[in-house]
Amino acid sequence: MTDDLALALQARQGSDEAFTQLVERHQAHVYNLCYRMLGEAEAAEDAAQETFLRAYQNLHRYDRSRPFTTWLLSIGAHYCIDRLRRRKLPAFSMDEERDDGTTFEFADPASLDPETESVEREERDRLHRLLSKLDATDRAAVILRYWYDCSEVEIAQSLKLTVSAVKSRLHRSRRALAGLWQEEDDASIQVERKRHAMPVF
Amino acid sequence: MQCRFFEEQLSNDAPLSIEQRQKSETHTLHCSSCAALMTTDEMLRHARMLSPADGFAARFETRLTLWKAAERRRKLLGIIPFSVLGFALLFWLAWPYLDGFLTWQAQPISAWLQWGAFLFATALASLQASLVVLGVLANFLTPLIWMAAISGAAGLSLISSISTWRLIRASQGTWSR
Ligand SMILES: [Zn+2]
Repeated sequence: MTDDLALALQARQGSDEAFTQLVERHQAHVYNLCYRMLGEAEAAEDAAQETFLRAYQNLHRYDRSRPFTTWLLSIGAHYCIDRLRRRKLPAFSMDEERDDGTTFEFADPASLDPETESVEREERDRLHRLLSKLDATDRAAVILRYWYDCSEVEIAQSLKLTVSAVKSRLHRSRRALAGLWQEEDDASIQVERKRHAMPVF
Repeated sequence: MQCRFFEEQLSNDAPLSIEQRQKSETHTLHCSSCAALMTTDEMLRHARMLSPADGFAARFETRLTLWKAAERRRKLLGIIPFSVLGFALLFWLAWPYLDGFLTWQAQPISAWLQWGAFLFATALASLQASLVVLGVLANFLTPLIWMAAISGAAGLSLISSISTWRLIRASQGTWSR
């Protein structure tokens, strides 16, 4: 973190190399946030680039008492929220982009078995799809909470909300996600039942 | 255990005691909504971090360079209207004096302007003509011929300068045999 601060100060004094180092360090954090928010590899790449550009333009406003990552994530979250509000993006398609090499996930040694991997992927897709049904700010709060381990205070700072608003948004989002998950489960059970009840000619 | 208590436990960062965990698990066996809540929470806790395609930083550098160029253009375009406005204001303020001066010196000014325009047009035409001639000649002549032609032209101009000088001296009557 101290290195981040040193690099940020160098970049503020006009060193583009220092800023490039910051980009290299934080690209995955910012990209992941944008991808989880927007759900498309291309849009996420563009949003992540825009986030870094906005950070570059606003380096003079960076408050050195705050971790650089949190500041970057805050810029990225606001940008994605604005973008989602401006236009409705098409449905999420999380793993389609993965195969052409534009996006990839960090390997998890615990799930090397192809069958387990496929089940896990299906569930991840499902969660990701459900996440897209949340309101943009709620989604940002959930992402900051679960992917970046941000505290409620940090989320409140990043999204310019009160701590109690963050609490209630997280609570509402958890309930909404669980509700949607349950609805999908119930729907698939209904389909199974109907299939078994079909008369055989 | 009540659903509200279960939810509070989930949103709490502190790890659960064995007793709390057992109570939670028993609760989820009977409460499908809390079971779904636990499943989604587990999924979110184990969600992975995605990384962009290789060369992200290089792509950013290109974007930054383009932005800087656009910013420079924008600043320049911002200066032009101000400059035009400034000149217009200056002209407007100076017009009474300028008008008087122009009326007083109308003839010499128009003569100077005509002379300037003539000089400018002649210089431009000569430049273009010589560029065309040089362009055509460059394809035909060898460097040796070029050297001989330039030396010849220099010799001729030297002779003509001396002749002019002598002619002037003779016409002024200062020439002595
Ligand atoms: Zn319950």
